[in-house]
Amino acid sequence: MIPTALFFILTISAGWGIVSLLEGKRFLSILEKTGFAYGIGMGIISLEAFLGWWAGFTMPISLLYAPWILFTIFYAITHKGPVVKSAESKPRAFSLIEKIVLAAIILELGYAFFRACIYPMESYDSVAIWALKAKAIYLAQGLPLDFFRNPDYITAHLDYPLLIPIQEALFYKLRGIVDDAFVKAIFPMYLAALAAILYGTLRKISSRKISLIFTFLLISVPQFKEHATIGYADIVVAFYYSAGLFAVYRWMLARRAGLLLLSALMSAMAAWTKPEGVYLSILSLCAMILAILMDGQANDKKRMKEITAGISAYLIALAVFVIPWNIFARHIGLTSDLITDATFSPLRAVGNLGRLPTILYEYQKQFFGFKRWNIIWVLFWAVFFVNFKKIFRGKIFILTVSILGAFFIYTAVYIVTPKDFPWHIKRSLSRVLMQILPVVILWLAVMYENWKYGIINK
Amino acid sequence: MKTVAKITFLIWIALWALFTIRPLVKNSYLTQYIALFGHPLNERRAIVYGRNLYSFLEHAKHDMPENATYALKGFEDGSIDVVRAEYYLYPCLKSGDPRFVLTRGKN
Repeated sequence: MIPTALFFILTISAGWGIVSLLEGKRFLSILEKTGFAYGIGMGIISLEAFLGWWAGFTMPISLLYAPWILFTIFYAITHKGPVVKSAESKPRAFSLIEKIVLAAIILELGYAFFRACIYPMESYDSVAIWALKAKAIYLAQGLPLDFFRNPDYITAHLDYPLLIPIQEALFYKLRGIVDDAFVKAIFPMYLAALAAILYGTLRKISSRKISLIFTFLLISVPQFKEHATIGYADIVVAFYYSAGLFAVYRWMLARRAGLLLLSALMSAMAAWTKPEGVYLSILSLCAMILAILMDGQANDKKRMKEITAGISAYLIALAVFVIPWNIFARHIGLTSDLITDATFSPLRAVGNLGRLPTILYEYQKQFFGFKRWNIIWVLFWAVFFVNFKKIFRGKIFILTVSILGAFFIYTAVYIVTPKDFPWHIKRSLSRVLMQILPVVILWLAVMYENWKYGIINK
Repeated sequence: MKTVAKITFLIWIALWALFTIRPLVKNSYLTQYIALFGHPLNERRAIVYGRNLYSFLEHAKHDMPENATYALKGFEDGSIDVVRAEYYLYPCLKSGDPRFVLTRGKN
């Protein structure tokens, strides 16, 4: 228990300084700042460890965290700026419904931590892809090159990026043994961090009661909460992609440049988690460009400046988090068993269009799979079609386009995938849909607020 | 509008309660939690993997030198048991040209 708590404290402390720097004048609540700090801490420490090991350094764990924590301390001492306070001068007491929903959220999060930590690592991908690599890294005390080059392990997706395996290995290092039960606390922590960021975003547009209810909706979706306990990386991708997009949405409300930088950083970390994170970061980049173009308060010159700065931030962040791993992977000859040169050939895509009915059928199975999704997808599509004329106007446009864009990307991938097709979609669709679920929840919350006030520009 | 929202939320709560409580019994989660709680990691692994597989892997790991190569026989290709075995046996490596062949029989 103590090493787990220490791991979280170190990670959040490491990320805190970066969030503070990007935030500038304080406006994030402690809760959402903690959420962002956890995500950033996980990303930067794992990248630092990877680069250090690749360069041949054998670093003690304290050296990995020390520079970032020192920066956090230095920043806190030198920047004691004023806090932007909420409009409510005195916090209102919680109503009964708020207390009940808050209790349900705490119960769900507590249960997720309990469930994650009581089982050792045992689910298919968590063992085959992530934990195996984590064990190899921990035992090698660095990058296990022989393991990476071993063709007998190609099915372990050796070309996948290393955020999760490195963090699991660092946890083992801190713990001193391969404790593959407590290490899974990493995942419900992502769930808690995401809930904190979603709640913080919702509070900018909704009352406390509505914000709590929509946060509860997210963490009570069976598929989502289950995946926060079994050691799969999709919850982590969901966290980074959604937090990046939420930051873009927040930028539309507050227009603080730091939010765009935060968005760039979070999106790049999605790409450092799983290969599909790259597509989602590009989607997030497009959302950011659209958000700036829609900015009615700015003139063309200001817009151009913001777009240039935003694109540069995204490209730099992506370059930092994606390029080193790809160079390393190419250098040691890692290949993908999912993507080949022929995968993206237009001819192949046209030839595979016959897969569309199966793909749509599988989508339908998910949308009506109440056991996995409760009624979230039915609700989403009902609101989508009933309000079709409104969802492409106002700030919600960005969220609508992002959700549809993700559906387009997933569908395109299933059309071109060289894997055994029906098997691939059956095995992965429920997981990739999870990656956009938090954005769908925010979209529904914005639609609810628009309905309530009869407006479409929230 | 408010009524629609309230009814939707109530349906959500009903399904949430159903799909939270049902697996505790139907998928035996509750029984598993009781069995796992308070036990050391290896014991929990034996419960989750199944005693047969776990004791087989324990013996194999004990009997093979570290970094030995092996092949698995008596396992269904691509099954969860195979990936658990590969994970558990690491740093011993599976190989097409193994030094040890680990055969799992029915007994």
